Amino acid sequence: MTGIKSALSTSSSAIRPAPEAPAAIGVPAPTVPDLDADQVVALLEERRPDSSGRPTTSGLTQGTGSTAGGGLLGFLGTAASASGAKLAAPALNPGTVQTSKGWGELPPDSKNLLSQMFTSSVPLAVQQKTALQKVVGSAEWAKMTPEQQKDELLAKLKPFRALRGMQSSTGWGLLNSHTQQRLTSALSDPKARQNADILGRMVETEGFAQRDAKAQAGLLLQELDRKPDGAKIKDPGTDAALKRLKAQPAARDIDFKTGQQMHRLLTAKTNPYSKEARIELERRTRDPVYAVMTQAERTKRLAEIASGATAAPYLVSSLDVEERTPVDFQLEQPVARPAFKFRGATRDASERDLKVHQRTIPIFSATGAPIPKQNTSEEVARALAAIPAPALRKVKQVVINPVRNPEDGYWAKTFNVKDFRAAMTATTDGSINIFPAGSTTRSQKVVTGTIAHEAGHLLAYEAFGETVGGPGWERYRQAVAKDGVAPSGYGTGNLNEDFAETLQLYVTRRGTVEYAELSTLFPARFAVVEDVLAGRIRWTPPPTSAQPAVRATGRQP
Amino acid sequence: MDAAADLGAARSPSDGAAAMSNPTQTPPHPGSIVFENRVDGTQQEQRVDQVPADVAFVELDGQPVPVVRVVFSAFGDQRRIESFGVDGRLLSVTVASI
Repeated sequence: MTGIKSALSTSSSAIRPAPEAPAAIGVPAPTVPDLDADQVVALLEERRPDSSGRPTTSGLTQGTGSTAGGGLLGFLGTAASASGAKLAAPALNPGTVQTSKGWGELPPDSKNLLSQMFTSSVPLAVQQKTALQKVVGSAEWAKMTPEQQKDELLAKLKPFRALRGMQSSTGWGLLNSHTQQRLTSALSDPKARQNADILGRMVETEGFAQRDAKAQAGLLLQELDRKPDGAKIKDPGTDAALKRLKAQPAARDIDFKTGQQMHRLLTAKTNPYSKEARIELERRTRDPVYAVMTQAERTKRLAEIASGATAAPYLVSSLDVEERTPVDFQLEQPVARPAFKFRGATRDASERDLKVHQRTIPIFSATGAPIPKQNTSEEVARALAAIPAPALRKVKQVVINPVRNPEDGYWAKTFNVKDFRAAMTATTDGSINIFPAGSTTRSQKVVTGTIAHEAGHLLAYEAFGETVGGPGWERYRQAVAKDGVAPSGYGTGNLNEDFAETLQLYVTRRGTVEYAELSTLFPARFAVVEDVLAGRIRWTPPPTSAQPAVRATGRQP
Repeated sequence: MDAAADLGAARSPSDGAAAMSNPTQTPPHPGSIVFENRVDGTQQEQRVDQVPADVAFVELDGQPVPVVRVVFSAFGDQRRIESFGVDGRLLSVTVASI
């Protein structure tokens, strides 16, 4: 395959060497200084400290690696004495962290670096240990999932990792102690978070590692003067995005399939995924670290836009797009249901029958004063009417509960979740209970999305089986792999949630102008969804004997 | 919604979990429920007499069905509790967000 150039019909040209900056289109692209030793010295001299009492430089200081010479040692001594009060022994007990759920999720190099940080007295390490102690010592820590704990640990390690990356570079040894101190300070200064992020990511690239000491020193120095980029990146539009992509030599190495997917993403006009992909292309190619990367690293960075959830929202329900117009429906007048047994309360209620898709779905709610932070029968009816008939086939009735789920306390205690508050319970016979919200009343979009999402789970269990990831899920697993792009960050990595998010996207966008575009971005997923909605996929549990299961399609699995 | 003013003829008393049918007698429970916490990897077993009735049984089509396994999982800020019956059949799902 010839890569993305086939998909984009761009002309071929020789691949330029890695350090070359991308061509600018509309906005300036990042550039990399190619400094010689004299220029580095000149820059260092320009950064001599003023009369504020900060350390003075003596020009280039020799020293390499994590055991840097006088420059680093000098910095450590100065910084330690300057901030003695902050260097009190950290209260963090490494054992608490190393026996936590999140520790087991860390890659070996991160464990190693964290262990180094635990024993380090460098001010930056002390600062990060103190920050970590606040998290580990909080009540929330035990409630976090292993993945959340891992993310916290990695976030706290980030500045120390960047420091170690800088220190282990050959360019670090060319910098004097004052410059080293300033770079280190940038990693711990909350006001310079953007610079710290750039420094941290930059020193981890192959492109940085492959440069000689002078070039590395120049790149590190450059970050000291970088002004934070607070500009919000706007959608450049399809033409500008395509031009920008074509201008990237690295784009020519993107594989053909990914190139096609990216072309579809960037050129579609009405859906939010395409808009985010164009913005992400701008963001990535304007990133200063992109300019430092090798060609291969840039190719990978660009290709990521067309895969996974890079261009997706965290939740489909958070998409700010037009709401699908419900089909015609009729909500009957209320009928009294005295002494109705809600979950956790017996109250007088009313039943309002929703007539939609030639079906009747009763909606029960308490009579009297409106329930705080609870949705109305009209909102629930509108939500149900926005869901296509096949997706609704599992829904038999909806109960709008006037009080929170009486089992909340039991679940909180059993699963150690403080203030567990159920939003909804669905039984597999099709009965849905909606409980009052904890903070603000759920919007119409959220109610529609939540019911569609849960209806998606019920349908998925029916179609693929209740063992998520089991043999019945194979076709959907293949669809996910084929599409590349994910509908949401939330669904990524979990087939069950991916299907529910996809169904939510499908049912809430079908009938809108953006639907045609979405069906080209998620063709394999949507094909499975349509088969599920049409009842063409139905899971039959394997018999207890050795005989294989036969699905409704009549095919052997 | 203030539906009280428009209420029509009263129907028979009903149960929100089984509004469409008549519940029958509670069937025997196998005796214990396994609670699997996939967030912290722990698992505990409790005798059914130590568990609330609405946790021990899920009413499906008016019939109480014994729960023998409950799985708690988390994904992002979403929390999910799934209750399963004797034959491994999914009975109910409770969702929450934190």
